[in-house]
Amino acid sequence: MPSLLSTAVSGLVAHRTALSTTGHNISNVNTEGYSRQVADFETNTPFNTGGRGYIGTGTHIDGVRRIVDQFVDAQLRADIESFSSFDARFDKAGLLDGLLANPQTGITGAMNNFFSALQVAADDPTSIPARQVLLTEAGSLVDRFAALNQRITNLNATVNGEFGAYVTQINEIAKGIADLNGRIAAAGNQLDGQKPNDFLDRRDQLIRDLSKLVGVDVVEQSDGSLGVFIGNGQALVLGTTAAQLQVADGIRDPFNKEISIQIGNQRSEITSLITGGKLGGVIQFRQEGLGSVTNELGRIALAIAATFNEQHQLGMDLDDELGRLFFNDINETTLARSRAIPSANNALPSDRVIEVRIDDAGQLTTSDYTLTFNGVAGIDSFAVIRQSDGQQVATGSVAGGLPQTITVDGLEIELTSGSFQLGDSFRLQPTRFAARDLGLAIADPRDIALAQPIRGIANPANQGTGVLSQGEVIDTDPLTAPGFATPLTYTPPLLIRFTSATTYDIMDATDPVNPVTLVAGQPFLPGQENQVFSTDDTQPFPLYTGFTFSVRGNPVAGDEFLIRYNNGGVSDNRNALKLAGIQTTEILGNGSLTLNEAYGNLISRAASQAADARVGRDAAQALLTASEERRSAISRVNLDEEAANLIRFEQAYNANAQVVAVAQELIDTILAAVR
Amino acid sequence: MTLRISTPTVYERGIGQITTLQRQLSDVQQQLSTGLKINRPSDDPVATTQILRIEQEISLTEQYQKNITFLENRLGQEEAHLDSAVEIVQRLRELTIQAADGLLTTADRNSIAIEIRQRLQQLAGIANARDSSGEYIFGGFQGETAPFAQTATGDYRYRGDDGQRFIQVSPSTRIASSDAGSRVFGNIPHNTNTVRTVENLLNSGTGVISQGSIPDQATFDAFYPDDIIVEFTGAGVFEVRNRQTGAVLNGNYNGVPAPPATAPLTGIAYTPGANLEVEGVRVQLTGAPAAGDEFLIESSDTQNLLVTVDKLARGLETFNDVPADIAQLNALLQNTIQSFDFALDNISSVRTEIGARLNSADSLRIFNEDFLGLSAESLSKLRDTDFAKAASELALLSTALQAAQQSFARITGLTLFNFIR
Repeated sequence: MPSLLSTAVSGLVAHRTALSTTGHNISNVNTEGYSRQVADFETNTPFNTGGRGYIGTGTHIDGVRRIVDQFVDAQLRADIESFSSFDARFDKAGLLDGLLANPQTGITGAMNNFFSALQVAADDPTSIPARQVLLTEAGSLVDRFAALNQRITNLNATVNGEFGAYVTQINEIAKGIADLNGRIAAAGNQLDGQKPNDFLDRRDQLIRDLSKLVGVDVVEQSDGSLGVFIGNGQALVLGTTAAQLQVADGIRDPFNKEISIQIGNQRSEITSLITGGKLGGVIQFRQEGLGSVTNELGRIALAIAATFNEQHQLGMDLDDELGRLFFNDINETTLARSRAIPSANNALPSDRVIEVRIDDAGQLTTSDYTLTFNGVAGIDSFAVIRQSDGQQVATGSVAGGLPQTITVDGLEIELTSGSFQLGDSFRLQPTRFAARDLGLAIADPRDIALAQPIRGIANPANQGTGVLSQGEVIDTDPLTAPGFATPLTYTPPLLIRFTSATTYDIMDATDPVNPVTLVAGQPFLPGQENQVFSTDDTQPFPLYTGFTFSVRGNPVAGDEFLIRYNNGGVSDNRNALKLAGIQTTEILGNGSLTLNEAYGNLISRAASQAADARVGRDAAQALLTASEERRSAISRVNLDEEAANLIRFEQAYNANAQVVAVAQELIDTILAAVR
Repeated sequence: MTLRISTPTVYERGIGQITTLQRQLSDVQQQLSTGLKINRPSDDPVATTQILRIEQEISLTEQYQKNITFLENRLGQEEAHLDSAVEIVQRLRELTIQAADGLLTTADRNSIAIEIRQRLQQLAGIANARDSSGEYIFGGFQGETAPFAQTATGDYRYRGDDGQRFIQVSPSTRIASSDAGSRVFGNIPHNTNTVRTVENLLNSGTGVISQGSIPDQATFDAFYPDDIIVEFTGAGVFEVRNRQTGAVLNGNYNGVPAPPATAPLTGIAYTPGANLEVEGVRVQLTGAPAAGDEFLIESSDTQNLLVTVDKLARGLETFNDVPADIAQLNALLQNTIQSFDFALDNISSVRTEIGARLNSADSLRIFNEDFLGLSAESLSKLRDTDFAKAASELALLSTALQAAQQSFARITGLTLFNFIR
């Protein structure tokens, strides 16, 4: 026969427990990751009266469980990963985005100013102030390239720095999870079937924190511990063991840090395998956003320097000298050598010298290249692989001795000297530092070559109506156009003398009064534009001279046109007009892009990435909020509900106490009867 | 099951809504205060590329407009000089007609010559005009050399070249901003065949050849269009040849043999300043030519305007009232009047060209202005804030924020604990 008193006491005890749980819930209303707990009542084992039925014996708390939904939790984790990744990516892409188009930091303004200054100088080529302004603007352009390059390099450094910070946090959290795994497994071993709710909550919260940093897969083990996997299945936490992530300089690209995981003695690089979380976002930004920006910027700098220098060298300055380099020589030996970076794994001694020269800036890509001695075609053979698409673009061998030169994508790669051997690997970065290395080569405004070094003069005594064009200089290199070998002259001056209305001779006019025929009987079509001199440098002198002219109209026999060095031609702006034309000429990407378009592409790519990341972040944000609210709806505390429970359990407690009083009275009644 | 809502969610959601609204308000406020709806490229990547392209076009076009202004100044300056040149040539033409009056005495002609000299000075001043930065306007590319400086013999010879400077005024158009002196004053068609004289570039001596005159036009016409070379075959000894045939020419030097007799001009001893008469041409050599030096007397049907004026003045100064001189003088005056007519034609045709250039520059300016207007409009469409839209958005968002704040305060005030004592 059960006692009413003990039944009542069981109710008191159970409801006090329930009140405690409610209190615990109320106190943890603002605890991050806390899941509300519910005390489950269960009836005590009934008393069997043997034939007169079972009599209840009260209640007890079967267990305290936390209210969670595994699926909602898993979804929340995925949404955190995705949001954090987009958020980190947007954060960085937004910086880059702002940097490139900002009038204070971008290239556009400086470039427009530079070319405007060039036009002003072209309008008035004898004006020293106009030339000085041009030099100043050129200096600003160079500075702008360097500054922007520096900002992007800094951004790269920031990204690399964040790698370190994130990896430290990940390692801390991994240790925490491993520790909780131990405690939870131990609690599970106590065989009473009860779960350490608060430990579970804390572990779940740690995993959510981890998801903010990096994408993970979570698998529950049979002992209640969780296995946490990163990348494509590398165990970050297994049972009570936490592996450590490490950050180190990249082997392929020493300017980029790489992340590796150390499991036991095994160390593997996993940077490219990491997705999700802030780390995944930052890695993605580095790959997509940052990776080629410096290269594209460098390519633009190289194209300006190469094209401008080339045209400038076809010109003549205010002191009648041939134009020299306007911007620094892009193929200066130190620069050419800095473009090839040997792998740290190359065998000693590190004596290999590779020079990467820019042969045709118009053909340059923004890719890096790897040159590897792979031994495919003999022990001395090597291959060049373009990184952007993984294509093998050239092969070669040093079996024939050094130097060896290969030409690819506008580059001239010369293996100059050293003990190249099987297994050697080099990263070639033709454009990486070009924006930084752009510099001005001239300082004196008089040295700006706005004129052309050649002029043509019609003999005033000409009787026909032939007109000589202004002429175009195409080559001033003394090797191919030896007429320019002696400074301040073109040797010999040339005379075009018509011998009939349809023929002319080209003559050496060193002695203008007694010119000597060099080539006789060149054909002439009256009334048409006739090109004199060839653009084909395989033609002999004086057919190929380094310049071309054209004659139109109807010259008659005896008419002469003298072509000579443009001494004193200070008012000539022909080269300035050509230089100014570079602004609107498609000099990049095999003749498909102007400078401005190339830079515009760079901006629009960065902008698209930032916009893409923002859209992704906003979408992920919405999903994350929804998941959080769902988890919240299921697991988090509602104070009104707890208030109601408080009242409910308090009333029940009071009722049970009343039952105790009744039991007391029953006993008192009995005791009074027997007194 | 009723959907629970946890107490923290009530707060988070309320605060979340308020924050979102505040951010949107701040965005709209930024649009309103900057006037730009695109504040960074990622706001609209496609529009950003368009904006960049338009901005470059605007920058280029603005530069073209400046170039056009510069061009107009340049051409205006040239035009003013040409106007004065025309006035002077017209005055010279009047003077030449006056001088042709058969009643004039030598003294009268001399006084006319004095005014002609003055006008020649003015004309030379124009032909050697400089711009504000000291560049010679009519020198072709030789902007630092006076294009019509006088030689040691006082002759005006063109020292510039045929260079013509162009200015970029639109992406595809360049307009000439200068005209070489050779085009304007240098090569004026001449009524009769004439000569141009020049020292060989390679000469090592200091010999100078005068501009020459043609006292015997008929003989020269017979010789024309061949050229004459005077070559110093040794120290102080020269010979005179036909440049085309190489044949030694006959003539007389320093009055030997006495005209009209002629002798082969070879092995002639040089006397500075002496008259050399050959094939109807008279020139003087001065200075100290070295052995091997050559002087070219080139046949031509054009003549430098300044030379024409100079020859006119010399003729008026030197010819006397004797029938032979008068005949030559009359021929000279006739030819000169013709030359002046040609010169006036020539200068007006240059002026017409300048006018045409100014016209095209002007129409390009208008075109560029239209283009700038259109570009500014597209730019504005792409990146400027639509104020009406933004303002109404601002009002809407403010109301929403207010509502969110009020309801938040109301909802969070409701709790069952208020009723438990």
